[in-house]
Amino acid sequence: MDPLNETEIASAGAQLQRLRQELNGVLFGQEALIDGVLTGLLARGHLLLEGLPGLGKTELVKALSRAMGLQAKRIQFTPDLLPGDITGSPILQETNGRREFVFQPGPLFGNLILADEINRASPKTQSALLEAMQERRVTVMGESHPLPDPFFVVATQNPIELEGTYPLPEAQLDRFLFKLDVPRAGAAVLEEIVNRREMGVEPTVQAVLNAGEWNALSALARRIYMPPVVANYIARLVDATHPGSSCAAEGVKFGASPRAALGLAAAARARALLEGRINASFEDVAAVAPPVLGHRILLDFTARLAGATSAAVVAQILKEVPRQARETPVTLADA
Amino acid sequence: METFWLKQGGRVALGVNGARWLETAAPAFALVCFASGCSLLLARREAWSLLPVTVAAAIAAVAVAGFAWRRTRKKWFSRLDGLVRLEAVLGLHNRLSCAAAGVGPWPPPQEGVSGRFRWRWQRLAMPVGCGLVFLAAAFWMPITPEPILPPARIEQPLALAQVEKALDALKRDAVADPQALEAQEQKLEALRAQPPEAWYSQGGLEASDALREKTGHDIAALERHLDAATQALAAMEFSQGNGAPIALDKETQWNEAMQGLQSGGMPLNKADLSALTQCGKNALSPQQLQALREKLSQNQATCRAAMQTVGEALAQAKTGFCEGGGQDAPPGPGGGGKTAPLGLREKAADIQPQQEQRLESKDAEHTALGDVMKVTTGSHKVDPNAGAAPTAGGATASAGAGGEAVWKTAASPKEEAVLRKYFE
Repeated sequence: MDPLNETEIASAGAQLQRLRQELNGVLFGQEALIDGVLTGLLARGHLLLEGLPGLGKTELVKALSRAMGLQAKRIQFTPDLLPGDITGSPILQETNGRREFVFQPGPLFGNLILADEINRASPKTQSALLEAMQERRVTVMGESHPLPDPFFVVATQNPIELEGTYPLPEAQLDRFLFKLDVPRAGAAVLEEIVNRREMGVEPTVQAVLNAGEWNALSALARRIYMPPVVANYIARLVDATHPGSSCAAEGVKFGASPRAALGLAAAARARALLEGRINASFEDVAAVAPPVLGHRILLDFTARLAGATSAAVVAQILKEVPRQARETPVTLADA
Repeated sequence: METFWLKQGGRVALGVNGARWLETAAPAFALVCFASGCSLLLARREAWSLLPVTVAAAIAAVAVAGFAWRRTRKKWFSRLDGLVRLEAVLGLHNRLSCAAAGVGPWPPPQEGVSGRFRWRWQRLAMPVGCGLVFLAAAFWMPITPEPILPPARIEQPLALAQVEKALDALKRDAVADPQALEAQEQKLEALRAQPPEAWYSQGGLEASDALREKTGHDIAALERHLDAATQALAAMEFSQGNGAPIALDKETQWNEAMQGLQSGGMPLNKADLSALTQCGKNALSPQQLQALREKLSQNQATCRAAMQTVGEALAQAKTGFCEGGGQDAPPGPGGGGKTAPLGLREKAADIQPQQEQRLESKDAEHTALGDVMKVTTGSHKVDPNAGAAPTAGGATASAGAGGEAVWKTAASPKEEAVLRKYFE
C-alpha cells in the first residue's frame, strides 16, 4: 500500500478541520473528547462513552451524524429490550396469495448507532450487538443481512446508578475500540454554554461530509505509514499489560488481546491523519493507548481493593516501556 | 539533510556503544587490576622480575577489552537506532525513521542536536578507580624483599650437653678409663645422630635424661670409691709412718674401693689403678703414697666438678631416689607405690540403696566394669487408684471435646487466624 503524499494529507486535513470546527461549535470545551471520537471513527472502531448524565454524550452523537452526513439511529437500552428489537425480525406478509417471511430491519441498520445506556440491557440483548459490531452484519433465522457502510456503534453508559444494570462482558468490551470518559466542563465552559445555548432548542449543525467522503478518509487513515519501530513499540506495550511482563502489570489478571494491538495501530494511524502527518509515531501510540487499553485490562481482586485502576496501570506501562526497543546502557541516563 | 541526520545518528550510536562497552569492561578491568596488583606485590616481595607480571597484566587488559566488545556487540546501536533515539527525544514524530525508510522528506537540520544522555560517571569510575589505585599502590608501596634466612639451628638437649661436658672433664684430666669414656661417648653420639626433630620428642628427652642420669650415677660412684680409696691410703700412710698395722675396717674399705674402681660403670684409669694395686702390695714409698693420694684427690675433685655439671643426676644419686623406685617412694603420679584412690562419689560412707555406689578400691586393677557391688531390694510404685473401671461395650471413657482434633491439631496457626477472623 502506497504511503500518503503531502497533497492527500493536506486535503484530508482540511476536511477533518471543518468537521472539528462544526463539532466544537456544538459541544463546548470538549476538544479532546471530539478528537478522540473522530480518531476512533476514522479507525473504523466502535466507541464507548462513559460519563454522568447531561454532559452531552447524546448531543455529540447527534451532531456527529449530522456533520458527517450519516444516518443516525438511537436505541435506548432497557432491561426488557429483546435482541429482535434491535436487529429486526421477520414478519409474515401475504403477497399475491403467498405468505412469506419478510425481514424487517431493526434500528441497527443505520450508519451511526447510539446505544444509550447499553449496560441496562440484558446480556442476551448486549450479545446481539457482537456480530453486528465485529462482522458488520446481522443474521436472523439463518439469513445474514449486511449493515450499511460505514457502521459505527457509539454506546454510552452511566458510571453511577449501577442497580439493575448488567456490566458489559469482556468479549463485548473488547469490541469497542475506545472507551472515552466524558469529563465535566469547567465554569468558563458552562458560562459559554449558558450564553450560546437554550433549553429545548437543537443546535444547528451543517453537514460538512457525506458517507462516501468519510469512507475515503478512513481509507486514507489505513494508508498512513507505520514505521517498524512504532509497530515494535505497540507490540511491547500490549505485551507489557500481561501479568509478569512488567512491573506495572503486577495487579493485572488479564492483559490486552491481539485485537487491542490492532486497534492501537489503527488508532495511531487515525490520529496521525487527524494531525496531518503521513506516518504514525510514538506520540500517537502514547496518546491513544489509554482509551484503547484501559477497558481491556482486567485487574485482580487484590489490586482493585488496593485502589488500582486500569487507567493508572496504562499510565505506568507508558512510563515503564521505553520507546526504543534497544536498551540504553545503565551508565547513560536520560538528561 | 540526510547526511546531517545520519551523522548525528552515528554520533549517538557511537556514544551509546562506547558507554555499553565501558560498562561491561569496567568490572572486569577492575578485577584485572586487583589480580595484577596482587601479583605485583608478590613479585616485589619475592624479588622476582616484574616484566612477566606487566606482560600478563597487559594481555589480561586486552582480553578484557575483547571480551567486552564480544559481549556487547549484539546490543550495539546502529545508526538507525541512533536516529530513533534522536526522533524520540526531539519530538520529531518518527520522521527520521520514515525518511530513512524512504517515506517522506528529512526534517530540516537543527542546532544542538544530541541524544540527551547524561553520563553516570561514578558507575564507571568507582571500579576502575579502585582498581587503578590498588595497582598503583602495589607498584609504589615500599616493600622489603623477604630475607633468605638460614635454616634454624636446633640446640641439642641440655642433658646431652651436660653429659658431654662432664665426659670432657673426665677425659681431660684422665680420671676414668678411656674405654669406659668412649662407651659413654658412643651412647651420646648415638643420641645426637638422631634427627634434631626427634631430640625433643618424648622418647628423645627420656633417653637424654636417662643417659645423663646414668652418667651422673657412674661419676658419683667413682667419686665415692675414690674417696674411700683416699681415706684408706691416708690410713695406710699413717700406719706405715708409725709401724702400726692397718685397721681391719680400713682394709675392708680399701678392698671395696679397689673393687669399685675396677669394675664400676666408670672404672678408674689404668695408670692410677696400677699404682693403687702396687700400693696394696706395700711396694710404694711414703712419698709415692702421698703423691698417689694427692693424685686421687685431684681425680676426686674432677669427679665432683663433673657431678656438678650433671647436677640433677648428682642430687638423685646422693639421695638414692629413683622414680617408681618401690614401696617407700611417695605416692602420686610417677611416684609409684600406692595406687591412686578411685571414687565415684565424694563421700564414701554415703551408701544408700537405689543410689550409685562408691567404688572404693585400693587396687583399681582388680576392679572391672560390671562387677556387682551390692544387691538391694525394692519395688515399683504403683497407684492402685489410677486403674480404669470396667466400662460397657462401645462406651468411651473420656467424653473428649468435639472438633478439637480438627481445630487444634489439623489447622496451622495461620489457618486458625483466618478462621478466627472469619467468624468474628
